[in-house]
Amino acid sequence: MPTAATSSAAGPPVRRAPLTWLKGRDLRALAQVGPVVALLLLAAFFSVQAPNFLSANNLTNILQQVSITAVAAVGATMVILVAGIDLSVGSVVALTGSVAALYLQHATLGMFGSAVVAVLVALVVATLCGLLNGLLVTVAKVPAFIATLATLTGLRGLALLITDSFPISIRNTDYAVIGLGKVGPVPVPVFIMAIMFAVGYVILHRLKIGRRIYAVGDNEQSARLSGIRVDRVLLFVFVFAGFCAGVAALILSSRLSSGQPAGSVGFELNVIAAVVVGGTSLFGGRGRLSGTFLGALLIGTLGNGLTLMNVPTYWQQIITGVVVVAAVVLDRVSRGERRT
Amino acid sequence: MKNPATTSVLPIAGLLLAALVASSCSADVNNNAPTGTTSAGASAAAGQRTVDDGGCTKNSERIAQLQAELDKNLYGIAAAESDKATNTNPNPVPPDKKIKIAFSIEGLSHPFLVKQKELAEAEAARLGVDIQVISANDDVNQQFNDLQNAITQGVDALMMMPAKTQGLDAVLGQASAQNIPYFFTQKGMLGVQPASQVLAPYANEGRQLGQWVAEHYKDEDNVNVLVITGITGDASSVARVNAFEIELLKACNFTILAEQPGQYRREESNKAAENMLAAHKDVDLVFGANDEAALGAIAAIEAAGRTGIDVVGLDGQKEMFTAIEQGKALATVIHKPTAGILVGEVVKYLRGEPVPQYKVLDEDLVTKERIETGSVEPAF
Amino acid sequence: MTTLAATGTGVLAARGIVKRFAGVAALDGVDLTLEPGRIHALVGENGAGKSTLSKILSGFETADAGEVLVEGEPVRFNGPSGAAARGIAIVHQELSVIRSLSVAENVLVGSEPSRFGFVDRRRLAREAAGYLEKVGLDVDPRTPASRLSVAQQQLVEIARALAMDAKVIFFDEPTSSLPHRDSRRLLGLLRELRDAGRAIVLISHDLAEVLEIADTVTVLRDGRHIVTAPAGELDEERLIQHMIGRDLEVVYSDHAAAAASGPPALVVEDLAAPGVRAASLSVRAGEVLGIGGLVGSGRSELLAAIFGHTRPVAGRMLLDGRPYRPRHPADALARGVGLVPESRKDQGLQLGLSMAANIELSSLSSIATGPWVRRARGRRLVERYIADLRIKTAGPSAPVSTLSGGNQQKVVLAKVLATRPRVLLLDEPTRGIDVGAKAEVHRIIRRLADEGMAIVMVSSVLPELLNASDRIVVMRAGRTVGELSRAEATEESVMRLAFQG
Repeated sequence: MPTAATSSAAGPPVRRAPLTWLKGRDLRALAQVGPVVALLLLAAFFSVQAPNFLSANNLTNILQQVSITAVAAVGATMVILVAGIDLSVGSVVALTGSVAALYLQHATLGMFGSAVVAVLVALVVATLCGLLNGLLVTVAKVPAFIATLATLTGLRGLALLITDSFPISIRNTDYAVIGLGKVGPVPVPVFIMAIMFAVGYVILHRLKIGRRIYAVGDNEQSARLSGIRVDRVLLFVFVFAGFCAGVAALILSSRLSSGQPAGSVGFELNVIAAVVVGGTSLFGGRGRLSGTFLGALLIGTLGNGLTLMNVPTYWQQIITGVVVVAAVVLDRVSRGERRT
Repeated sequence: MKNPATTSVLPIAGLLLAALVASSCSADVNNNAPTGTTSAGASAAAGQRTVDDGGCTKNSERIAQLQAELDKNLYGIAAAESDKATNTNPNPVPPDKKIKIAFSIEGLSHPFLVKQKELAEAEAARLGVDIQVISANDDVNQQFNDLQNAITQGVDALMMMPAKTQGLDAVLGQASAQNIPYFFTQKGMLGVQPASQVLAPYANEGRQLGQWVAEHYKDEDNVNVLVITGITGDASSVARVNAFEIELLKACNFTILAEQPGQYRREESNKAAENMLAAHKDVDLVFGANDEAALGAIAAIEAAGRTGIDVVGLDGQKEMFTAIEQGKALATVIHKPTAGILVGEVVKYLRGEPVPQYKVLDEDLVTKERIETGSVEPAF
Repeated sequence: MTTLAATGTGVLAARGIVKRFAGVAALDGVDLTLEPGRIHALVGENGAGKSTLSKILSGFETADAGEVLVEGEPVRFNGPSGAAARGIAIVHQELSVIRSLSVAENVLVGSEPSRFGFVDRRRLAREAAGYLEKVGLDVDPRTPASRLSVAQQQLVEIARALAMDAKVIFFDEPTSSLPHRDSRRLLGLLRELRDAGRAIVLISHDLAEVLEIADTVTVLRDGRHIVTAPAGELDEERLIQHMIGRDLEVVYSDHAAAAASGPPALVVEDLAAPGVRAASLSVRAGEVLGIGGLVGSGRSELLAAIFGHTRPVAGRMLLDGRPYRPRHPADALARGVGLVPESRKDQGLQLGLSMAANIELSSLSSIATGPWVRRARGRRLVERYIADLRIKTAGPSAPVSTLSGGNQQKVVLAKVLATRPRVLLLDEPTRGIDVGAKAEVHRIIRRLADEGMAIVMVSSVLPELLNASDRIVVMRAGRTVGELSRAEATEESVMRLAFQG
């Protein structure tokens, strides 16, 4: 079957998806449950092959390790849903963590007070970074890829500038609770992750802005003609993504007891991988937060299990890459014919 | 719609304000201080030590500054404490149980790191112990995760080359809580209690090279120097660069024209060298914080068609030896990988023998003459 | 009047060409023969099939049935490059000059002279200059194409056709965007090309121009060949008659003219906007105002400007007597003006979402308390309109992409009606839907008008326009050029205004 473009009188060219011999309907179903099945298979595999994989300790570790990426991925999901992209997440995390650490170095409000203020300061800084991205895209009309590439560089430079490139240690024990504390058997980061996903869910499925996000991602022109102020929607998703990066930075800096201005390089790729593996389309308009959570969990479990199995690091990277590609291909194939 | 001008200015202004406030705070922050040392205490310590400026008063202030940073630097401290105190394992592993070690290395993106891995694995095989080398891809959070996973696996000991001097405190605390001892090879961390640290003499390397360079150029009026530093925010780089520069400043006939980070990698060092060479027409010497940096600089010099520029580095890499033989570089210092030695220490400790808290190996200067006489071998 | 039979096969011929788009036949068994050294004009209403036929003959489309003959041999083009290889070129209505390249590169695109794999710039400029001279374009071949005027770009495209040594050149509405002097020059060039032995095909709405320059004229209507005759035997009146035909489709419900009463709900005065030079109209509550005109006359653009999708640069609008200046569709909807756009797939629907999500989309604020969407309210809204418009579906959560064209159009309508507009703008409301759905949509339109809505409807289908409208305003080249009452409105009167203004 030729993969030619055919055109119609009314619509734009339509491209046949690859591997059309696989039934579209079955694949759509497969793509929906794909991440879940893959995760279960992976867990089953690792429980046999990797010692201690199923121990409570290890499972808690996985959730903890995944929480940072997952929290940032909540915001990233929304950005990708409107067919945007945010490449600056890693730099925002680095900057935010560094600012929080710097503040705590000079804070005078006592342990708890300083910790609270540090949290607020961090969230404000991260949200402002998101606002910057949003304004570049909506007011300056810079494509998201380029805008966030620019802020990726600029904000990183800012982080290195204010810290002289050194990690800044954090000695506030109340602040340490964010990344290292537990409530009963459940680590605090896992709580935070649950709360962020709940917030994300409410936004996407219970608020007006959520409907508008899906609409803009599906077809921006059509959304505008339906009376949606597209720019406001875009601004919102970038600001919220900044906020989520801030929460991720809180967990990370608390966990590492330090602000790391040179850290989280490439973090945005992990975040985007989690979103994409979870079934959200980079073209916008399609995707669910539950998928993002599964995607993050899948990638995190993969890394954890392979380490426990003593698989060399090179192989881990290759395998993870293959998994991400497979997820994206599966998603494309399951859509069948789609507008290009 | 809101006025675009004001709405774009606001967040930028906010960020700049935050940056200004933060940077005014960071002015006196230096995080190489061990836990419990306040900044007042540190500057008091620096004040107590007399700064030797070698009679070159015009550089006194800068020398004092560099020296103060060095005093708080882990490697300076380690060099001073080498082979003094010892640690003994309260719970030795019984001789019939096979030892399992996890070696968490900061990354594998440099031949030195690969050599560390090889030496560790070779020594482990020789001693009949299991070792798993885990690479953290140069990310401190990844290393945190790796260590956590290793602890879950129930290893007997953790060996580490930490990616940064800060960040792993919490997970090392978890290791201690589970009675898993941890050790540092080559690079270390402040503020934690490892069973042993076998570290590289970063500061001494820089100093030895600096002294040799000062001697080599002692008859010149003014020597213009470009400096390529190492990884941003890395204590080992600071140790090497500061110690080197102090010697040059003491000699008084050197001018350091510019400093740029090369991240200890050839490509970035190449770019840094390119930029600095383009900005300065009259250059006599380029210093690379490691051999990869020096090799990157050599490539930049050749590409720019410049002549009469000497290059020095640190590490003692095979390629650097070749460069010195060909006359493209002047000197380097052997940076011995310590992973193999540390594996030995780890096994000793686990079996109940005492091991030194700090151990710093000595360094070895390498020049063309020494290569020709065959008295030195490349470190890796 | 003699009808030239399709004798011989000329240099390029079509036999029994059939082409369907989404189940509707754009061409239904059309024959055409093109002779070298002749200018052959192709005329017809919007949607008659002229563009489609040209695209098939120049390789941009493939026919579903029938054959294309080059010099008598049946061929199968492999895309436009295949046709170009056989010497068939088309100068499009939307110019395809590559703006980032130079003039010379454009002229010789695909056949640049080269040395050892690299483009030989000097030869490129020299050869291109030769062709530019032939078409009378006096510019340096190295000039970037983006710097040329529209007329000059068109000449570059013609030069490109010459460089291909095209035996057959199609011209799709070549003079529609040219100022008068350039048009004359272009027509002169067409004559020269014809005299040099090439076969020229001219698609044009300018009947005077067609009769002046063509040797042969073919009329298409509804995808069928109506007549082919020498230009000398035809005049404009007869051409229009052929183009319209006598058949009237009895699909659109007839009705008594709405009683004209009350002040106008919407007034547009001398509006200038992108694609609109000067438009004026007024429509009252309960009235259906039709807008007629040819493709490209600015009808959809006018609706876009009224809806706030584009910004007017001059003129004014009044809604219920008060100034109306929407800067965004949301403003229009807030003031009670709604638009059902021309292309439901590209502009009217979110194809990835459910039917319910689509219907709710413009009314989110009315089904929400603050930022919170009340699902029950949304459900009720959706169910009401599904019932009201009789949308046939498996359920409100069905993906809208699974619905038929007619039901999809109803979904768009439901979305707009849910905002309770006072003025409803419709752009080709029954395009691409089956006959039964067409009738239903018109019933709905009539009901809405009877209930007091002011309706403005753009349609390219004359019978629809004539039957559904209480009054008709005709546009030509971006201007409103005339208004016809229901009594005055006939096919001829509308077409005359559309073509001649």
